[in-house]
Amino acid sequence: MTGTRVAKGGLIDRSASLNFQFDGKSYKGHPGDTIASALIANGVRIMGRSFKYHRPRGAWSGWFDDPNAIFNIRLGGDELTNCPATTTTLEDGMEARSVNAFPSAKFDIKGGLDRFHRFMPAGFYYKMFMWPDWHLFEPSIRKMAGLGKLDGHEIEGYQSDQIHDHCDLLVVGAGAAGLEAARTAAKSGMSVVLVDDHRTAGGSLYQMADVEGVCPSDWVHQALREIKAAGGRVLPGATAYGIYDHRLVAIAQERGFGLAPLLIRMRVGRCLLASGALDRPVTFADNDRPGVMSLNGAADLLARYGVLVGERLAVMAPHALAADQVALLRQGGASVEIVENIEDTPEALGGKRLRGLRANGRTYDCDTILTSAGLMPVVHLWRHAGGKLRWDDTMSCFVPDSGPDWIEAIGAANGTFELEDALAEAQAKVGLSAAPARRFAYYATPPLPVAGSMKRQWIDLLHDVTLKDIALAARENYVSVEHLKRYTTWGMASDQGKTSNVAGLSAMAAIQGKSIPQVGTTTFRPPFVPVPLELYRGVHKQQQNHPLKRLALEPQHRSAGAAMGEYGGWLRPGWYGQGEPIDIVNREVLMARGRAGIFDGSPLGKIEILGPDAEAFVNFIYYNTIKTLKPGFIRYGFMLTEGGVVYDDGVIARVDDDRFIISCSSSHVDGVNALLEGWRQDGHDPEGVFVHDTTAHWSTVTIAGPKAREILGGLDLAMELSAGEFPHMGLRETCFAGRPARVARVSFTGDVSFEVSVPSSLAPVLWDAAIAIGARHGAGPIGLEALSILRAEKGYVVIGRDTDGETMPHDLGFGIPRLKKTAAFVGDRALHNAHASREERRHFIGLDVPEGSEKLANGAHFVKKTKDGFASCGYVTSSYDSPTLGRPIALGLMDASLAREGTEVEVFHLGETRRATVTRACFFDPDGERLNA
Amino acid sequence: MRDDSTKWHPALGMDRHDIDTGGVRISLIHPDRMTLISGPCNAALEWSGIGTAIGWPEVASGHSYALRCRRDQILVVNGPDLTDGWHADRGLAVSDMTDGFGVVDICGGDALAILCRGTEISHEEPSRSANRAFFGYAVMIYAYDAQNHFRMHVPRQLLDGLWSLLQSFAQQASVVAEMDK
Repeated sequence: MTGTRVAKGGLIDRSASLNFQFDGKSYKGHPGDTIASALIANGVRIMGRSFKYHRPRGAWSGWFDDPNAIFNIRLGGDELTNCPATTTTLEDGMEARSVNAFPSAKFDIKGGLDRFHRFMPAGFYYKMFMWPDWHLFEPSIRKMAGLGKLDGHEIEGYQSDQIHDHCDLLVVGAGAAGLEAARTAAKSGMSVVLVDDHRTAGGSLYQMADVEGVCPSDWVHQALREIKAAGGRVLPGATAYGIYDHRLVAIAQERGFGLAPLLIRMRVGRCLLASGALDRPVTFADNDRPGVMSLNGAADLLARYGVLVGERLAVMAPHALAADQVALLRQGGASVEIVENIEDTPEALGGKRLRGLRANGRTYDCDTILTSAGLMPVVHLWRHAGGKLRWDDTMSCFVPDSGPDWIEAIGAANGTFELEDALAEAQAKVGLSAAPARRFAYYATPPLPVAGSMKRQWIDLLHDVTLKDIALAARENYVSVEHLKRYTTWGMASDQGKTSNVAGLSAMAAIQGKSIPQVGTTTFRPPFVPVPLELYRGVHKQQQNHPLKRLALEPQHRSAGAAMGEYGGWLRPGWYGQGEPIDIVNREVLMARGRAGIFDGSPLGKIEILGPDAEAFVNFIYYNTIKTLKPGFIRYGFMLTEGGVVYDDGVIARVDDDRFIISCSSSHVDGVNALLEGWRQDGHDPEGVFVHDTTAHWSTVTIAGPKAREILGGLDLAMELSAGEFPHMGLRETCFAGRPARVARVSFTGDVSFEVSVPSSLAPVLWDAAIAIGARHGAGPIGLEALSILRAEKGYVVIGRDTDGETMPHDLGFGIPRLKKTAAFVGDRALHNAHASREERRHFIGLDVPEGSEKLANGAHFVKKTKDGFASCGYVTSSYDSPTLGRPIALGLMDASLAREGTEVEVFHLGETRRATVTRACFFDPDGERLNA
Repeated sequence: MRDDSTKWHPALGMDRHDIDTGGVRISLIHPDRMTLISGPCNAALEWSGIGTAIGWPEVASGHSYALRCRRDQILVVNGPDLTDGWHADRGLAVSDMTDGFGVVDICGGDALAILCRGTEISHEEPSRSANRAFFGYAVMIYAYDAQNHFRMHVPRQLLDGLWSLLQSFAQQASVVAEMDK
């Protein structure tokens, strides 16, 4: 005989019926059922197969502590994997499939694996599949591992909402203690939030005949009414699954099947944990058989769902509160035999169908075995918060000990198992008073596990860890609790040791002749129960995963047919027009060299340094000497880390005595701004210098090429543009269309170049004007791809591409400040340490390839022969086919001993070796005639 | 070389339709002027002709007001036209940031619920600064004119990302409000 639905009782709605399927068979349940309770009511006992041995398994309990009933569930075209059947609310039309079983849980083709269990003890992976090569076995083992299958179909709209919330008092658990605490607190004026993972509050109250003289349902409803009337909030179906730093509690509230749960990040003033207690299993032979269940689980299934788990029950529950639950089950119609004073190792009899229990030399005729070695407070959240545990010998369980002052456990979670005691404790703790002495003396006398039986005794049902495995771990000296856990995988499955933790500790303690506290405990970490990954994702997806910065001129670029891509955190034009990209890019390069290129330089940093100490500050920040820079002029400079490594390069413009503009790399603006502000506040007088990041305010249109001056002249900027009046590296302030404008004569292409910056709202006017005028001169827009080639032809570095995490400025050929600058600057000391001064550093070089050869591969290594083969002497950092020169060019970082012009080197890439010649890192206009024109 | 043009929604620009779910209205507003002033706050406020700088949960109102960014920095909205640069006589640094921020106006019953999706914020937790991290975006948030009415300043280049985010939050808040009915 298996489970049945009793004629009355429970919280289900018996007036309505729900249809569902499990492993292809149809069943009925009621609103309020879980899938597991409905299956048990239908007499279904086998709900899964164990992870390793594929043994038939039934539900151990009726709520989150069940490790066995895990299903893939499909409803209305949506499918979710690995749903715990005991906590999944039944809905009409659900199709559930057991995981890790084929074709069904009842008849699984891999069930025969159990016969080979002797060859698959804990740790067998490390011992068996070694010869001839582990990788031969790996694919098969990976295929067999895991539970459940993903169907690859994404549920439309499955997105977690994530909100921040706060309260004075969070009460976790709406059983007796939690309801009482929430009611007391709300009435006192606190802002209270009460959460419970059940949709119906009440905890285990429904197992009782009455609560303070009224029926449990009425007591619960009254408490909820009073909480809400006093302004408290009640969140049903909400699991507090983790506690994080600074009193942050993570709560997942279910929204229904196919809808992602809501994530609430609750910042609390205080927290009361009324999370209840679980049954500790008794360890005995074949204790994993379907029909071996938790006593509390059985009582709860009857009280909440009107489900009687069996007709003839044998109960092993040596603790003080078992009698009440036994009485409830007898009232439900079961015949119950109590198994007391266990002196040997009991043994479950039967296979898929339980036939009895053998204990103390006697056979108990039963169809169900209910066990409880005692109650275990649910202390996980307590431990997340850093609370300590104490072993109580009388109660044979861990209870909360000392902990943070903002969180306390009450009720069963605190080892206060009796109702009146729990209610009194809850009231006292709300008021921060000491709880009155307990009137009820709870005790438990769990039988100790005894190794050596012929039949296996399960410790961890989810990972198929037995008492023999614990003994094996002890023999192999994995006696530390942390080693025991990792070696056997005890407690590492999705139930995170809820039913196996104390059983395993008890086993190791018995084997070693120690007490449980001496064995120790492992660490409890969130999440307390499995939660979908979606809970953490929310809107962190697609474009919100890494939102790109957008240009004010993006509409203009798109209208011009630009190919947009990410460059340094911005969405920028790579090239313009349709066709083969490399052909377009080459045309843009030639246009820029022959006439002019017009490109959007808006992302370049525009960080202003202002104040009487601005000059000294900028001189300190930069490697190069800046204090001699005069107003109206610009200087190229390197920003170093304190370790002397090049962090950024840029140009510094001096506007006047007390004002500089740092134009750093586009991708580094946020980092540079943070560094500047950090140095401003630490090491300088913050009242003497200020940092303003104005990058977003200004947009920049750059015009570069031989016709740049003519095009700029057409913009009517009212300024002198001749080389004499406006030399290279000069800055002018002027107006455009009646608004302030700045023109910097700087170049990243090696040709005459002007960067015109205007307020971003004016950028479209400037761009359109520049494009129109440029068209008359045969110039046009160019994108980042063409710009990359143009700068490489000139040998201009891109930090992070042509430099690595060790490159110092003297490696790039800028050695004078290191030798001559006397004022302190960031990184100065590191530039003179042994590492910076060693001879074999990597220098920045150019490379030529033999005529007719293809370009070198980016990342190709320069190699030299050693006695063991080859060694790398550097690598190619930038490599292009230069349209300007009609041949390949490359830049790289090379060991100093080879980095001399004219040296021939071998270049290795993907099995091929080629030759190249070191040259000066400047292929275009080395004397700067075009740049200074 | 990648062409990801189709993978990113075109930027909406500074003229865009409001987001209106019934529970909240989100719109872009365009202050005449925004000025960043660093230095002693009292001196900055006096020069701007504004009495106080707003943090949280103080309520800004009117056409001109100031936001406190740090103990030595304010952002003046619709203040006087000041010259960029260092003003030695006042000990103040000035930068025009009129085009540097997108300013989002969020108004309605769901407005606070939307803010609570991006950051921890409540009227019971004051802050002297209007600066916050909102879903990772560095923004300024403050109350404007009334309860359930807020404004958010975001660096202009991130306006599109933030706008799309607020749209998602508004839809979620609307769904939740419907479910809670």
